[in-house]
Amino acid sequence: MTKEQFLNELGKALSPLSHTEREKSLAYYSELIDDRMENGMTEEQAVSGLETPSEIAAGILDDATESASPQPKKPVSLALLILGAPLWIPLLIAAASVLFSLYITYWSLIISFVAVGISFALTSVACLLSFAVMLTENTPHAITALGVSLFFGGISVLLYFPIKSAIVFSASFTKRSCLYLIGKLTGKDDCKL
Amino acid sequence: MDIQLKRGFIEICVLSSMLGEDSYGYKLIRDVSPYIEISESTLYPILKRLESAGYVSVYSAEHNGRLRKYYSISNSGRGKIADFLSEWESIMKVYNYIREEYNNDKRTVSE
Repeated sequence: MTKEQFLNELGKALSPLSHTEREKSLAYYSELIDDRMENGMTEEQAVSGLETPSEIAAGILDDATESASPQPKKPVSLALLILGAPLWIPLLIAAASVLFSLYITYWSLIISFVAVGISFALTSVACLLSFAVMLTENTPHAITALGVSLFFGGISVLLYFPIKSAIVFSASFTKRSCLYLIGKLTGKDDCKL
Repeated sequence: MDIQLKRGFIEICVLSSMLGEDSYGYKLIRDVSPYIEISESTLYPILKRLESAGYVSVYSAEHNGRLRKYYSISNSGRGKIADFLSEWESIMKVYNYIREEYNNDKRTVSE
């Protein structure tokens, strides 16, 4: 094969490439053949010592497609996701709304317990005051008031600790869930909670 | 030699042969061949990669009435060689240790 024949065949095999890339490849091999001849080989030897034009072209085209398309995502799953959007988006919104209302209900329960605790405590204080006031005037009533005061005071103290733990736990749980969700959405930068 | 290892080696070898002076395709193959197997079609994508990574710069100059493409190593190319050498210094330490232990073992076996 002559140099011209070699380059012609190579050029044809490289037709999928852009004009610039094809010219670059041809220039590279043309220069190589010339240098080999300059260093003592005949034209025949210079050409035959190389791989065949089809082998060379296959290698170049492989290399070109490797760098051109880095792992395209399967288009099918993306299409399904978009087509199904009218279905899963409302469902997602509904689910999120249910969760959110459950969450609010939970906090409302806590708040009502706090309200009960506070009102018991206030009742206790009020009864204590009336005990103090009635002590001299009407001792039996005063003692009753003291008893009631102690009763309500005791209940509110009993309620205080569990309610406080519940609030602390709920607050930290809320914080951790928010951080987790944010981390998931922004790409898991730090999973440590 | 493992093919991925070989690829990395050929790239560094090609880069290194440009250290003394700018080189061109045919000369690169001739200089590197004694040390590692390299063909014309292997060299071509390597030169493309080196150029796009900025490790070499390319220019054309006239030679005997035709244009020849010359490759010149850049500073980041030199840096890549330096990285390779320092990485391999630690590898060589391990190799020397293994070699010495192995040689000691052969001696005690033959005694």
